[in-house]
Amino acid sequence: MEVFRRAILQPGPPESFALQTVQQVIKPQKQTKLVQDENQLLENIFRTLLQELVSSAVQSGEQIMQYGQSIDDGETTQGHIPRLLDIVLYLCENEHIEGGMIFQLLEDLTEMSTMRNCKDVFGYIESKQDILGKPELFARGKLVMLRTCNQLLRRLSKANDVVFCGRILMFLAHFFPLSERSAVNIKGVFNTSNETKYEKDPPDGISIDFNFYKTFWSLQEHFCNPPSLTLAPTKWKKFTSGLMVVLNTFEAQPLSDEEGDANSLEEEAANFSIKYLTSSKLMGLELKDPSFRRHILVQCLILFDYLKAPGKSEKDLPSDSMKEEIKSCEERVKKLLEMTPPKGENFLHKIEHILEREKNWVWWKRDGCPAFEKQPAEKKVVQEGAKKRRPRWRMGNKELSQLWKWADQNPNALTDPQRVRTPAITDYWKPLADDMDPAAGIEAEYHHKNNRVYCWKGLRFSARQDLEGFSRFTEFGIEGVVPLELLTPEERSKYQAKPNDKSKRVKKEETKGAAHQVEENQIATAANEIDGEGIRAVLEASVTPTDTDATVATGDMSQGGSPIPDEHQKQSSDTDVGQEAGQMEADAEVEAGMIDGGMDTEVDLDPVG
Amino acid sequence: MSMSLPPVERAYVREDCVREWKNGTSNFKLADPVPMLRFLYELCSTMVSGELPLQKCKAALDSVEFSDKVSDEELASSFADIVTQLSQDIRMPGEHRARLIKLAKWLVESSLVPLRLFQERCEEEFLWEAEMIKIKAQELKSKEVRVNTRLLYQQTKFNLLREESEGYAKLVTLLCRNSETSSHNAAATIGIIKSLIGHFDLDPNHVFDIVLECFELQPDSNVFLELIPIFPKSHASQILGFKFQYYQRLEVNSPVPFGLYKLTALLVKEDFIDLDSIYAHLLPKDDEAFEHYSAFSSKRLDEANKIGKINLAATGKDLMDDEKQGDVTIDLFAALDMEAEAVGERSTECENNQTLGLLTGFLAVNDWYHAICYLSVSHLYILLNIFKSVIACSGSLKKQSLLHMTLFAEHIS
Repeated sequence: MEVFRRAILQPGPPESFALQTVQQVIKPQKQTKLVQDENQLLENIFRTLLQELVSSAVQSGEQIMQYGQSIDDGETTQGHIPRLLDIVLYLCENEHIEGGMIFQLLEDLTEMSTMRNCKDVFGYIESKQDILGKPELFARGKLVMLRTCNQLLRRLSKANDVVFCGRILMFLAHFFPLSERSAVNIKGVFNTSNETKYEKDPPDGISIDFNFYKTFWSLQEHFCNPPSLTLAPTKWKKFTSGLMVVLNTFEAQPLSDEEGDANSLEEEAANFSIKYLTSSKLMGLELKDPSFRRHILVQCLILFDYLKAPGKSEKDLPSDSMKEEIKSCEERVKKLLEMTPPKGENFLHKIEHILEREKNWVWWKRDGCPAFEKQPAEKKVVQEGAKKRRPRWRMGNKELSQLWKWADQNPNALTDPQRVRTPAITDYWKPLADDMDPAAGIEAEYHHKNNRVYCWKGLRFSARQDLEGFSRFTEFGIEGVVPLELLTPEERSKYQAKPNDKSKRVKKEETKGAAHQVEENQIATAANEIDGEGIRAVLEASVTPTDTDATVATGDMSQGGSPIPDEHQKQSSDTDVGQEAGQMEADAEVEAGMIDGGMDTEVDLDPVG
Repeated sequence: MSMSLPPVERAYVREDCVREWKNGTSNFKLADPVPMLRFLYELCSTMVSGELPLQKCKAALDSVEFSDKVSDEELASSFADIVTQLSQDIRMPGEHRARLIKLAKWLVESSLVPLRLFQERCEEEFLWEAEMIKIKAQELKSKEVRVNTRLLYQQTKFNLLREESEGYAKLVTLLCRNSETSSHNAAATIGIIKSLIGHFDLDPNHVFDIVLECFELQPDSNVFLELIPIFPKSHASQILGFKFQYYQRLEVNSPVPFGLYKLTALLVKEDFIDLDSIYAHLLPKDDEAFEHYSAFSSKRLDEANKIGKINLAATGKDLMDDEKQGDVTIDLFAALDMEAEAVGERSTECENNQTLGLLTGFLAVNDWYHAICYLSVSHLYILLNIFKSVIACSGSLKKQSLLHMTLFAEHIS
């Protein structure tokens, strides 16, 4: 024991020496875990040591939990007893010694301590709640802990130590699982021990109606024992007549809004009496207190709730006449609650809500208090579930979802000057234009015109940004699409002199009213159609250079149904006449039309380029 | 005889003393003071063995002086201990035991030992034989167990309002008062709550339940945010979940009120409970929802495929047949009817879908973070696949939550 007495004076965390000390004292057979009688020996040592510490603390006149505390360099070291408890708790938690030992010591300690000291001891227990509640320790110590708490509660006064009682009850509620059988009051026992005593004889010089006083407080005996009302009809009679007197009085003396403006909670807390105060001198004041009235009226509603559906079997149900009486009383009580300020109506509504939900608990008890806890699905299961769902990406697959998310997460990417943009047509086609210069002498293999992806992308750009250049594709293939200004003069001349639909349009507008207008328009329309179809054809055929004739043919066949850009539609709207008839001719005359507009092209294009 | 314990070595109750006591020598006194416990022990064993008659006990006691100063209580206690200890010798011969019982009775009759001390210390069988108890030993034993369990291993707790109406009435009155809140207020309220629990033995878990109930009724009252942490976090979601279970009962016909969803969402938002732990309480469960969804969509697909389908093989007779009529006559109006019916069907489903309800709760408390998290833990995305119909049919939901839902749908799609 001396070894341990020294050990608790040792500084440093328990893990640095506790186990070694145990091994030094016990010399155990096994390295880390003690066998049963070794545990017993150790427990005896600890209990004796604790007893000695408590006794020296008492002799020193100090609070036992503070005994041995010292202040060095402004740092407070632990008292001897908490230190011992910490060490034992550490050993128990790590299963070096029997887990129940710490609980045994705590029980000993509470039994040896005065109530004043017990508050400190209990403070220690509360502070270690999480460790004590760990499954391994809990299993070893729950009964001892329950016994300890019950013994403590028995020693405490219900009048003076209510907060401490409350702390103990709350600790137990926390320490035990929700469905702990010892805590559910499975038989539904009523708190008949909550007796409300009141004066039986009128004091001298009384100013209140003493009969009313007696009637008023006599109701409590029924409130704390509701079953008595259903069993004996005489009691029910006595109760209802008493209740009538009380309700009549409440109704006769309604509270004004000023009286309803109750004191602030702070003031009220200071005077809050947990148990009813029944001095006859207070009766008059109490009747003016809205909270007091509410207490009584809510008790009535709770009682009626019980009487309407008392218990397990049908035969407990009240008789029809009693039901009627309950109903009328209930209505009066609710009216009174509504009338009682502040915000009586609102208050009643809340109470009704709470009573409705209370049904859940009543049924729960009726059914034998089944456990209602549900554990969340195991993390592993959740993962499995997640795996199953994984293919459901928001945008269809992981990559697209990722992309989508990036956009969301980086809104300023749009304003970033460095960001990747669609290149300008002239920039894009530059490499091909360079390759087209015979001086460069590019081999076919490396020639950009043979890079299908490059060409495909370029066509898409041109279709959007340079319809003019794009339209040259039908005639000259991919090289025709390259903006002319990029080319060397010799190269340019190969593609320059060709007409395109835009120049045709310009020409057409210039020659409005001319005799051959209808014909021209037809040609223009047809050519437009070819453009539209051409784009689609190219899109569909990817990079495969499209045979012009084939494209034209497609254009003809689908002319009526194909989408026509607005601009073009306007143009042809007034020339509808020839549209149907001219289909075949258009086919033949496309080339001619194109050649017609040839010279205007350059004039038109230059400023654009 | 040899079965019994070895005879007690007698240091103080010597042969000569016994002889004097037997003879009734009136002024006989022991020369020296003796230690009390040892002397009594030797005296008792002498009487039990029959060497000294019981009647001479008084004389023996009168003739000694104890070296340690003893009170009557100590003397009584020591006697009781000695008798108790002797009574536990199961190998004691029957006649000895009979004398021991007589001794015990005599000690009580002569007021040397209060009956209470024997009842406190002796075994039930001995008490029965010495007629110190009125019920049989076995009955007494089980009674003891019951009393012991009740006193030590049972908690006195009242967990229904009706079981302690005074305490609970005061609690709900306190919590339902609408007052502006301050932290000071919260501290006062906490003090009162603990006192009520302590004085009336209210079940803290049920008190917690009522605190949540009142928070649901007054979601804007901050005082509750300070009350909730005094209760164990691990119980919060279970108690809350139990409220959802209420609405899952067959006896309860109403759907979960919106306030409860909002409360739950608030508690998750404020980190009082984990999303996973409350999700375990909600219905429908994931697998049910999947099953239901696939059944529903395949039924809808079937119906949709039937639209406009004409049974070419049908003969005139078939066409006249009322039952076959459906196959042929489904037209646009029939399709619209079907749509309406399906929406109606889903509408009740939405109303009762607690999982969906909680989503509206999150949206109502502006907790988009958890709303999104919630989608990943729950099966809700299958509802979102058909989100339009959810919105269309959520006529039962509040207008505001409908708006939230629409915004949310736009946000995620």
